[in-house]
Amino acid sequence: MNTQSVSPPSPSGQPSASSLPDVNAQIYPFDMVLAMLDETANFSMFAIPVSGYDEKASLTPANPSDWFGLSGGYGIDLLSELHRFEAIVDARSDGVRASQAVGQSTGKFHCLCLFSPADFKWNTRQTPPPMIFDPWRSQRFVMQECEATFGEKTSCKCYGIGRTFPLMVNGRHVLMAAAVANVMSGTGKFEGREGTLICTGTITPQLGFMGNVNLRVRDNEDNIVSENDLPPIEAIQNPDRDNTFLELRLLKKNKHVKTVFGPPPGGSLVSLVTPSEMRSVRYSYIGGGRGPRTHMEIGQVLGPMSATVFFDLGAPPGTAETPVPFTTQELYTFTAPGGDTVGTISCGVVEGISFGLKFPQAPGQPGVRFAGFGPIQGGTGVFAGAQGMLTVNSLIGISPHALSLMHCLHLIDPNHRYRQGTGGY
Amino acid sequence: MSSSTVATPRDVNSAQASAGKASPEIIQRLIDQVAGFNLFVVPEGGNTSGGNGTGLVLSEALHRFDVTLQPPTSQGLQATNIFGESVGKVDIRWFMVPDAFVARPDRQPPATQLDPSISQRFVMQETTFSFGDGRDGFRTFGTGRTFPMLVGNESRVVVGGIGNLTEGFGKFRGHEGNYTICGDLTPDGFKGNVLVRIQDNNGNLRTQSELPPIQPQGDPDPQTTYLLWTAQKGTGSDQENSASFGPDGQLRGLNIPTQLKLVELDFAASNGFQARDIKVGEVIGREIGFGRGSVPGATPAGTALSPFLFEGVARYSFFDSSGRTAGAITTNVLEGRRFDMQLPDAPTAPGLRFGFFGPILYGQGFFKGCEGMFYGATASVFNPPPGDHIITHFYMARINDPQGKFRAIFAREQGWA
Repeated sequence: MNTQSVSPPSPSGQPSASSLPDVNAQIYPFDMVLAMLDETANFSMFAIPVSGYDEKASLTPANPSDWFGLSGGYGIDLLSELHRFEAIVDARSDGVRASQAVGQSTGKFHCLCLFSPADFKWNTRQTPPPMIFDPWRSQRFVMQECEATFGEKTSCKCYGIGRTFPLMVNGRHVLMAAAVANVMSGTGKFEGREGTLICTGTITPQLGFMGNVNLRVRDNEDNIVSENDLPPIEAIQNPDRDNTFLELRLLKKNKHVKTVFGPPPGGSLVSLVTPSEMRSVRYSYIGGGRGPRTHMEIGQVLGPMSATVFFDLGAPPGTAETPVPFTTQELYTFTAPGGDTVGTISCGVVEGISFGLKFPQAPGQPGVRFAGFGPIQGGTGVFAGAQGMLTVNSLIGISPHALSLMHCLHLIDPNHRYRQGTGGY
Repeated sequence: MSSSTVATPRDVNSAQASAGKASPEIIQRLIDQVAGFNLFVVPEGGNTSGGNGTGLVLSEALHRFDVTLQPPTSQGLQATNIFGESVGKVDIRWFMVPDAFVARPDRQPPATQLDPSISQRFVMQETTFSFGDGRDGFRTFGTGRTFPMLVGNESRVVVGGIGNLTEGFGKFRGHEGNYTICGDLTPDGFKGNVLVRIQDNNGNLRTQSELPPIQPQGDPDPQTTYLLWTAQKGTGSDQENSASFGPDGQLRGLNIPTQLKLVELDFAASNGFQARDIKVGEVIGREIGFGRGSVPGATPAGTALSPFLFEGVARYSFFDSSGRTAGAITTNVLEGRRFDMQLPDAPTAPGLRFGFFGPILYGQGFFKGCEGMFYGATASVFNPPPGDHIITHFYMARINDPQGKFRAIFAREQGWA
C-alpha cells in the first residue's frame, strides 16, 4: 500500500508526524483520479459447485496414483460454475435487506487450494509444505492453478491466498472460506490486464465452493466497461438459502473529505483513517461471444463507513511477486433515509494484499490496487449477533486520496433476516 | 490409513533379515494374535465432576457391543449394531487441555474450559477398564479431540481419542495394546464406542469356545450407525506401496493400498474376560491412502510416553456383487499415535501398533451426503518398499444416521434381516 512519494521512516523505525505524506494533496484533480479509478470492469459473480466434480477432483491430476492428491486431504480441488450475481441493498428503518439474485451461468472457476502453514508467505513459485485439511480449524491456503473463464476466449489466471473459518450456525458446523488473488495473466479481453479477485462463501459437504466471487479488472482502453445498461439478469432458483451478501460501492462523499493518519500501530506501520460513504449498487455483466462487458449502476446512500488501514509506509509498491500486506478495522453504519442508524457491523481485513497502481493518462499519479478479507466481529441494531465475512476489492489514488471500493458483507443468514423476499427470485 | 509413512521404524537390514526368517503369512498370524473387541460406554447418571466444565471424572458402564457389516450391494452398505449386556465399568479422568499442551501421564493439565462450539483437545489422564467382577482390566493414558457436530437436529460434542495401555491387571497383566474412542461428550459423561486392540501373544485373552450370545439392550444412540471392517494387504501390483514425492523431489509420504474385508470381533465377560479370534471375511473393497509423519524430522520411534504422530488421507471404496464401486468415503486422519511393538516370535520384525481418528470428509455413491467420524486400531510389520508390509486394520466409521440408512435390523430368531 505504498504511496510511492513518501519520506523514509524516522530512525526509530516509526514514522514521525512530520515525515508522513499529505495523502490529500492533489497531484491531479480529485475528479480526474476518481474517473481513472473507475476505468475498471467489475464482475460480481456467484460460484456454484459443478455437480459430480468430486469424482474427478485431484491435487495431482498428472499423477493420479499418488494419493497425496486425494481432494480433501492436503487441499481441495474446486470447480464451480460462475453465475451472474446481484445483491442490491436497501436500508430502511425496519431493517437492511438485499434483493439477491443468482443469474445465468457465464463461465467457470477452477482452483487448487493447498493448505499451508499459517506463516507461509505469498510465493507464486513455490508449493507450500503439506498441511492436512482440518475442517474444525481456521487454516490458511494457497490458491494455485486458479482460473476464471468467460466463454471460450476470455480467461484470467490468478494466484492467491485464503483462509477457512469454521463457524457454528444453529448448532451446525459450517466452514466458510475466503480468498484474495491477483490476476497473473489473461486471454481475450483480459490479456495484459491488471486485476484482483476476491471470494467469500462456504465449503459445501461435497467439498465444493459456493459463494460470491468479485473480480475487478483494469480497463483503461474502455473495451469492457459499458456506459449502457446490459440485458437484465436471468435469475435461477436460489442455490444458497443460508447466506446473504450485501454488495456495496464505497467512495468519498466529496473531494473535500480528508483522510488522516491515525495513531501509529508500531514498527514501520502507519494507520490511515478513511471515511467513506456506502451506496447500494447493481454490478451487471455479460459473457458474450465478443467477450465480457460490465456495467455499474449506483443506488441509494446507505450510510457512512470508517476504515482504519494498517500498512507499512516504507515498503516498496506491491508487485505480483511481492505484494504489500495490509489489515484494516472497519465500521459500517447503515442508516434509514431519515438518517437514523439501523445497525452497524464491525469487521476488518485480516488477509490483505496491495499492488502499486499506475495511470497511463496521468504519469506521476500514485495509486494502489488492493483486496482482502476478514471475519465480521460483531454488530448492533439489526446486525446484532451477525456472523460472516467482509471482502474488499479496491482501487485508490494517493494524493488525492480518491476511492473506488467494491465491498461485500457476507452474512450467515439461515433465517433470511437480511434477504428481500423469502429466498425465491 | 497407515502410519508406516516415511520413517523406517528400525534398522531396515535387520528387519529384512527377520522377515527372511518369518514368512509374511507367519507375520500375519503373529500380528493377528490379538484380542480385538468393541465396547460401548454409557453414562450411569451418577456423579459427574471435573471442575466446572473442565473435564470428566466419573465411572461409567461398559457394555458389549457388536457391529457386523453386511456385504455391500449396489443399493448400499449396512451393519447391525447390537448394544449388549453390561460387562464392567470404566473409570474416567479426562480433562480439556490447550491446543499446544504436551500431555503426559505425570503432567497435570492446566484447567481449561470445555467450549462446545469449537474443536478442543483433551487428555484422557487416566481411564481404567474393569471387566466382570473387576479382576480383569487395564489402565490407560491417551489424548483426543472434540468435534462439534449436528446429528439429526441435535447438537453434539463428538469426540475421538486414542488410548494406550499403561498397566494391565488380572488377565491383562503384561499385555500391550491400544484403543480408539469415538462418541459424544454429554452432560452425564461419555457415550460411545471403544474399539480395543490388545496384543495377545500368549493367547490367555482368547478362547476357542463359543461365547455366550450377546444380550441385546435398548439402543442408546439410534441416530448413529457404526460400520466396522478390516483391511489387509492383498497380492498383486495394485497392492504395492509406493513413495510420494513433492514438487521439490523430496519424499513427502507413502501411498498405501489395502483390501477391505468383512470382520467379526467378539468377547464376553460373564466368566472372566474372553475374546474370540478375529474372523476375517471376504474382500469387499479397496483402500487407497497417503500417510506421513505429522512432525517433520521427528524420530521414527514410538513409545508409550512419546508416540510417533502421523496423519493422512484415504478413500475407502466398497464393491457391489459385480465388483463395481458402489460407494466410497474419503477421510482424513487428523491424529494418529503409533507405538513400536515387539512380536516375541519374530523379535526383530519391525512391529507397530497404532490408533487414529478424523472426520469423514465426504461420500460418493451410496455414501453421498454422509457425515461422521472415521477411526481405527491397527497392528503391522512394516518394511519400506519394496519390503514386506503386513497389516491388519480394524476400521470403524461412525455415521450420523438419523434416518437409519446404514443400519441393518438384527432379527434374533431369524438371522439377518
